[in-house]
Formats: sequence, structure tokens, C-alpha cells
Amino acid sequence: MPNAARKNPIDSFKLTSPCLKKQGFFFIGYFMVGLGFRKDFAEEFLEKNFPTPDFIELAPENWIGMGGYWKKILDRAADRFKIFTHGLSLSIGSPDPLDIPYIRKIKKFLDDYQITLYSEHLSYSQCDNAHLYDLLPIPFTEDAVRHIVPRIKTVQDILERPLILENVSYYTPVAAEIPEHEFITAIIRESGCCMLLDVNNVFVNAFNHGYDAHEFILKLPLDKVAYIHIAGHEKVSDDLIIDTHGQDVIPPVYELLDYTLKFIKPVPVLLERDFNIPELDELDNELQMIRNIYSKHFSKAEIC
Amino acid sequence: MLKEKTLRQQQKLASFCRTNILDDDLLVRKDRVHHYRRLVFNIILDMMETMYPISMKLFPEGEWEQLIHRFFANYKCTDPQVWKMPRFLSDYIKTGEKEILVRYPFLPDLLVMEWKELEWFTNEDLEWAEINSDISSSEKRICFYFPEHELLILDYPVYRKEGPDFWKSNPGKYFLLVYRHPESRKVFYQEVDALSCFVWESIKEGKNKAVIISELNDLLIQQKLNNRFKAEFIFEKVWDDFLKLRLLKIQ
Ligand SMILES: [Fe+2]
Repeated sequence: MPNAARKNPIDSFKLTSPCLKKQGFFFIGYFMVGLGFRKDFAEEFLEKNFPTPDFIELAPENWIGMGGYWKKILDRAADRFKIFTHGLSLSIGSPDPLDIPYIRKIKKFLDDYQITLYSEHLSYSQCDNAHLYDLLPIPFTEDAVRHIVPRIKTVQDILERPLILENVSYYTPVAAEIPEHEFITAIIRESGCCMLLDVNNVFVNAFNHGYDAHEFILKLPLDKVAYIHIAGHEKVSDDLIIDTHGQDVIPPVYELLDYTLKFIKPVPVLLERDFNIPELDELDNELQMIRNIYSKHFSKAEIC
Repeated sequence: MLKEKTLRQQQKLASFCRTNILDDDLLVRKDRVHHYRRLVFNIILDMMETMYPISMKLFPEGEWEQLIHRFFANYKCTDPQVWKMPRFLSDYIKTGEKEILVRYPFLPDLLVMEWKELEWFTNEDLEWAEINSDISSSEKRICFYFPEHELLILDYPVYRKEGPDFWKSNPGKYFLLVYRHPESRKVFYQEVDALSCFVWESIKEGKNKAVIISELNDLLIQQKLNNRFKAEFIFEKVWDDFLKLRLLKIQ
């Protein structure tokens, strides 16, 4: 399928969502390469006005309800950049009920800062009414799919935005009954939500579980990909990689991004760097690498 | 609907991360599942160390980590925002760590004091609040107080520099004002006395000056302090002190 014929899946949602239309939300594909906005470098980043990503991404959990110094920082960032969000605690795959009051807080935050893109993880981080504050793998089962699909719809209804769910890295399957790609595809297709394709997570999982990353990508619902993540990882043993977001992106992951872009329409790509954060010019080098790959597939004019 | 089996698997994995008890029936790679617990505790320990640098140093090597492990196993953290999670540690210690409380009876106060610094640094912005118009002077100008502050009532003087032995041997009632400066947005602590607290709270409640002084006078008589202190003097001093702290302004 030629690139020009592909539509950003988030657009389809927009067309079917009167709320989004009413609020004048617009196509997100104008924004190509972004950077995860971390408090660790927020002030320096804003002072230096460098690097200059097309957008920044932040976790609403780290900013909701904040005043004082951090609110000023957030407001300055929001004045300068388009903000995308990547949540941490939605716990869409949890056996616990959804935390509706918290989802409403997220909605308010998104509205206050006029944020259209909200992504989360296809995982769970809360169980038996206790938060774990990390992402646990959901059992790949058909009943888990049936459990999660209506929850996605509830979240989308409250947020009045599409939910964009990310394939997560995992180190062991848990009581899996169906293949990972079938699990992801069923959830995305049956719920009608969008997908955040993290190419580093595909690389990590392919290595950890002994499958081919390229073949895996082709089995995903690529027409529903609305957002891409890329990051670094750490190999901790001969057969295990941990998805740390604490190292530079390695060449095979850049290659996997290059490969993936052949099959999807132009969607934003985000560089995640959460730990062991280097100097800002090193981050800029990585952004430039991503831009170079991106521009092989899509010109700025094409997505504007 | 989630099947019982899937539900149990999810519960067992989450429970293992919190408690380190690995159920034989958990269908995972046993050689790898420990990474999940390790990664969870990387986050939890890092957050706790950042939040409680003074409390942490009280403990001999390894004991702080053990305490945090017990906290996370036994206390259900219900807040979706991870940076708010450390707030629950003092509650847990008060109810679930008798032996620690005997060794460090001041620990809940110390944790609260350390937590409040972050809480007030991050709290949502509040507007200046108008107070009773006849309170400042006959000039009838409008007065405001800055609500970004809190009076902590502590059982131990954990804000004093003397350290743990001093804190432990001086139980009592201590009042500590924690506030965020209206301009710099930095957080400061200020020790205050009980009478000043009374005056300050009365000002915020909107009582007029005459009423506050009269009530303060009754209090001084009741406490047999009326020979040593004058109500008018205390009122004026509190007024001046809070003006200097920038928690009061007159327009
Ligand atoms: Fe990601």
C-alpha cells in the first residue's frame, strides 16, 4: 500500500467522535519526531531552547495536580511545544475495576493543556487494590481480551479521545494461551482503539522470547498504528534484555524503525530516555538519527 | 469476563512483586520472573531514598531496604501517582512497625516533616485569601494571607539540628510551620509557639482583632501566663512575624 493512501487511524476515530470534532481536535500527524520530557533535564532544556523536537511527551501522572515550580516549568513547556502524553497508571489490563475518578483527572489535565494524544501501556500495574508502579505482563488469553476491550471503550468515552495502547516489553509470558501478536491484534481490532508501536519493545521481546522482530511487526494491526516509540535497552545476560530506556538506541533498533516505517502511514515517533540521561546534544544526535530515517519515508510536506 | 485462572495468575504475579512469595502455580519462567520484583523495587527504593534522605540515614546498612520491602508487602498503595506513594510510609510505621517505633519513636514525625517539604513544593497553587478588614489597624486597609502553608503538630523536635538522641529524649508538643514562599516558590520551615499558632489560626478564621486579643487573654489567664505575657504584644508580634515571612500582605 503506498504511503499516500494510508490514513492515520486516529483520524478515523476523530470522524466518528462528535465530541472530538466539537472541540476542534486536529490531525496529530504534523508532528514527526519527539522527545520524552523529563524533570531531570526540563529546566536546562527550556533554558537552552535545545534540542528542538517537533513535540514532547510526558506522563500525566508526573504532572497532574502540581503547582509551584513544576507548574511553571510545565506551562513554559506547553507554551513552546505540542504535548503528547504517555500514561503510567491506567492499568488497562488489571483485574481491578478502572479508577474512574482518576481517569476524569487525566481528562481534565488533557483538556487544560489542549492535549489530543493520550497513550498508555497494554499491561497492568495495579492488582488487589495496590499499585505496583511498574508494568506487569497480562496473560495472553482470550478472556483477558474480552475483559480489556470494554474497559478501553469506557476510557475512550470518558477521555473523549482515542486510547493509543503500546505493546510492552516482557521478560516472561504469564499463563499464555494465545500468541502475543494475536492478543495485541484482538484487543486493538475489537476495541477500535489505536496502537502505539514501540519498536524497541519488539526488538527486546524478539530477543528474549526467540522470535523474529520483522516477522512479528508484519503480524501487528499496522493500519491502527498512530504513534511510535523508540528507546535504548540493556542486555543483562546472554539471553535477556531489560527495557531500561537508559541507554542509547542501538543500530538494529534504528533498522527496525526504518523497516516499520515502510508499512505504516506517517505517524509521530518518540525517543524515550528515562534514565542515565546524557548531555542534551547527545539526545539531539539521537533525534537527528530518527529524523534521517523518518525523512527516507516521509517528507515534511507529505505529512503537513 | 476474566476467568478465575487468569485472575489468579495476575494476582500471584502482583503478589510476588510485593511480597517475594512465589506461588508454585504461577505459570511464568521462574528464572526470569524475579526481574519484575527487582524493577518494581528499583522504583520504590529510589523514590523513598529521594524523599527521605534524613530518615534513611538512621538505619544501619540494609535495614532501610528491609523496612521498605515490608512496607510495600503489607501496605496497599492506592494512589496512582508514584511520587505520592512515600506519603504512606509514616502511617504504615505507626500501625505496623512496633519494634521500629520503640527504637525511633520520632520516626513518624521525621517522615511527615520530610514529606511535607515535597508536598508543599508540588502542591497546587492557591490564591491569596482576604481576611477580616478590621484586623490590621485603624487604617482599614485590605489584608490577605497566603494559604500555601501548614502548621504541623509534632511529638518530637525533629526539625532541630541536635539529632536523633536529642529528639528521642525530648518528647512534647512542637509546632512547625511549613510554607511555600509566594515568590521564590521554595519551601521553608519555621518553629512557632503554641500561642502564635492560636493567634494565626484565629486571624485566618476571620476573627477581628479585639476578639482575638480577648480570647488570647483568657488563654493566658487559664495557663497562668498572664504575668509574663501581654496579649496585645503577642498579637502584634505574630502579625509582624507573618508579614516578614510574606504570609501576610496589606494592600
Ligand atoms: Fe515505549
